[in-house]
Amino acid sequence: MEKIKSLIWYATIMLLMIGLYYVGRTYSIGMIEDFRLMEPVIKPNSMILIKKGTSVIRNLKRDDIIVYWRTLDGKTSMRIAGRIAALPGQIITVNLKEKRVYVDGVSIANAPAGIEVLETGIIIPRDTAFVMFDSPPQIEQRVGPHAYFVRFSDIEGRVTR
Amino acid sequence: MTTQDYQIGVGLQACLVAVFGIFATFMGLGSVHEYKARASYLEAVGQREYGTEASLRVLEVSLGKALQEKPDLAAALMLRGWLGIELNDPKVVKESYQKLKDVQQNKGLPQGIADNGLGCALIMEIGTIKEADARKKVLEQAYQLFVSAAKEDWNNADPHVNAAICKLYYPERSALVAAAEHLADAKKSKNFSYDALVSYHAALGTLLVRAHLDKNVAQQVADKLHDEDKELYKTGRMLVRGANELEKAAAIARTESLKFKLNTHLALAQAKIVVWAPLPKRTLIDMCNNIAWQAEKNKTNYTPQQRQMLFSTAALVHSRIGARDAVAKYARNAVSKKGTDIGSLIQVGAAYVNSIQRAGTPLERSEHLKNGVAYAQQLIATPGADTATVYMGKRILANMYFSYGDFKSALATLQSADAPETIGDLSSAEQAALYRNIAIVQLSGKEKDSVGALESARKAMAANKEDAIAKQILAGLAGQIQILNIKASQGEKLPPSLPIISAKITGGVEAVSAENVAIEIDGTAVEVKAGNGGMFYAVPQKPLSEGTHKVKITASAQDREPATAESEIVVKFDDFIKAAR
Repeated sequence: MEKIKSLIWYATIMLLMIGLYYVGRTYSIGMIEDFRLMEPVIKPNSMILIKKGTSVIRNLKRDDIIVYWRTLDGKTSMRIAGRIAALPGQIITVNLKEKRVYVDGVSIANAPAGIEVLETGIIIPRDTAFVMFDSPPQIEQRVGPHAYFVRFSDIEGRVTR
Repeated sequence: MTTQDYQIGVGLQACLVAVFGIFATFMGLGSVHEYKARASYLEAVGQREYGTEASLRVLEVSLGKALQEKPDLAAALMLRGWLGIELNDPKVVKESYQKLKDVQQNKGLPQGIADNGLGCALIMEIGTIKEADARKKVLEQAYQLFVSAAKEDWNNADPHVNAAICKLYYPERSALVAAAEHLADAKKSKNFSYDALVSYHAALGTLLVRAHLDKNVAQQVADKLHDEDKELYKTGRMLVRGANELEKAAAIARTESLKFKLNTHLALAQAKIVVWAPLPKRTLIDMCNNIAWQAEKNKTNYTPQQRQMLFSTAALVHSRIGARDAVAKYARNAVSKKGTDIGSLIQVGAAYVNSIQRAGTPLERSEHLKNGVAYAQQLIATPGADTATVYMGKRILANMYFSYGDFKSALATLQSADAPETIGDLSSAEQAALYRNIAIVQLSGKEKDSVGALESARKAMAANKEDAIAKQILAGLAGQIQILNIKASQGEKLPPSLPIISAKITGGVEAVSAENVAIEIDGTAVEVKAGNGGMFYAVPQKPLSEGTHKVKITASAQDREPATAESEIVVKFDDFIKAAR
C-alpha cells in the first residue's frame, strides 16, 4: 500500500513537471516596451501572456496580436506588440486620398504616415507578416515601410488574454 | 532458474546495455559536430537580422565555424552565398552555390536554389569582364541558369526576378519586353523571399525607366506586365511609376548599403521627372533635395556626366522656386574643369534665366544676372574649352541678357558667336538656332531692326529649311503681298485714252521692287515705274478706246507668295472734251 502511494506521488510529480514544461514551452509572460502603439488593447509596460511555438506562428491570421523582437541600430532589441494586417502572398495597397490601407482589395485600417510609397501595391513575402498598430506611431517613432514587415523568425508568439 | 542461470542473464543484460551505451556514445559524439554546426549557423542567422557591416563580419565568422563542423550543411552554404552577394564577392558566391549544387546532386535533391545562386555569381562577375563578346556569353549562361531554376519551381518568384534582372543587362530594347514577361511571372507566383521582393521592385523600376524612352517598347512592356494601371503605356506615366517602384525598393530594403545604391538610381529617374512634370511644390522640393544629396554624397556610383546632370537639374528646379543661393551652389558643382556635359550646361543656363525672370525685385534680378554672367563668362574663358562649350556659354549669356531686358548686350553676344571659327563647327540646326535667336533679339526692345531681323531669318532658313520658328519670323517680316487701290487717273499732259494706271503694293518689311511687278492692260504688258510709299504706275503703250478695259497686276518678291489682282477701268472721253472747252 505504501509502495502504491509512493508510486502515485511520483507519477503526480512527473505529470506536474511535464505539464509545467509544456506550459513553459508554449506560453510565456512578457512586458511590452514603452510605446503606445497598441493602446488601449495593450498598455505600455504591461504584462501579457504570449503563446509561442512554430505551429502558432504558422497558423497566424489577420487581426491576431503578436509580439516580436525589433533591433534598433544593430544593438538594442525591443519587444513590440502589433496586429497582423497581411500574411505571405497577400497584396497591400495604400489609397492616398482616403488614407486607408487595403489588403487584397479590402479596406482594413487607416494608413499610418510613412507608407505612402506602397500606393501601387506590394506583395507580402514568404515567412513575413505585415504588422500595423492600433495607435499610430508618434512623430519621433515614425519609420519607413520596412519596419512594418516582421519576419516569422522574429515573432515570439501570439498574445492571448 | 538456478543462481548460475540468473547470473548469466544479468551478465548478458549488462553486456547489452554496455553495447547500447557505446553505440549511443558514438552517435552522440557524431552529432556533436551537427549540434555545433547548427549552433554556429543559428548565430549567423541572428547576425543577418541586424544588417550592419559589423554584423556581416560576425556572420562570416559564424558561418566559417558552421561549415568547418559540417561542410555539407545546405542552409549554411545558402547563407554563405547570400553573404557573398551582400559583400559583393562573386568568388564566395560561386564557391558556396557550386558546393551546394554538388551536395544537392549527391542527395538527389532539386538544384534550383543552387542554379539560381550560380546565376547570381555570374551576374556579379560581369562587371569585371571588359570584352563585349565575353560579357554576352556569361550573361547568356547566367540567364539559362535562372530559367532552369524557374522551370524547376515555377511558383517561386526568385529565379523569375533574377532572369528579368539578367535581361535588363542586355543592350537591345527587345530584351526589356522579355524582362517584363519574367516580372509578370514573378508577380503571378506571389511567392517572394524578402530579398527577391526588393529586387523585384528595383528591377521593375529600372525596366520602366528604360522602357519609357521608346513608345513602342513602352506599349509592349505595359502589355506584358498586365498591370492594374491600364494607362501605364503612356511614357510620362511609365517614368513616374518607374521612380515610384525604385523608391519602394529603397524603402523596404533592409541594409543601408542597398538603400544607398537604390537611391542613386532613384535620383537619376527623379532628375528626369522634375524637369517636366507639373508636381506640387512640396514633392518637387523633396525630389530635388534627394537629387542634390545623392549627387553630393555619391561620388563612386555615378559617372562625372551623371553627377553634373544631377547638380544642373537641382539648380534648374531651385531656380523655379526662387532659391538663389542653391542655384549658385549647384551651378558651381555642375561645372567641371575637365569638361562639362552640354546638357548640363544648358540646364544651368536655363536655371539662371529662370532666376532672372522670377526675381521679385530689381535688386534680385540684377544679383541673379551678376551671378549668371559670372558663370557664363567663366565658361567662355575656360582654358582649353572646346568650340561647343564656348558657343553654349555665349548662348547662355545672351539668354540671360535677353531675360534681363538688355537686348543690346544680348545681340552683341550672339553676334560674337557668329564668327567663322565658331559657326563652322556648329550643326545646321544649331546655326539656324543662332540666326533665329539673333532675329528675335533684333525684333525686341524699343529699337527694332526689322531689316536686320529679316536678313538673320533668311540666314537661319538657309542653314536649316525645317526651322519652324525661323519660317514663322520670315513670314511675319516678309509679309503677304497685297495689291490695293487699282485705279486709272488722267495725267496733266496726257489724253484720256492714255490713263495712268496706279496701284499700291505692300508686302512686309522689304519693299517690292518694280522689276518684280507686271501690269497688263487688256492682256498687253506695259512698262511699270515705282513711286513712293509702295505706289506703282503704268501707262498704256497705245491709246485706249472709250469703254471698259481689264487691268491685271502681278507682283512677286523673295520669300513671299506672288500675288495677282485684276480690275476694270473705264475710259471716257466726255470729261476731256468738257475740260478742253
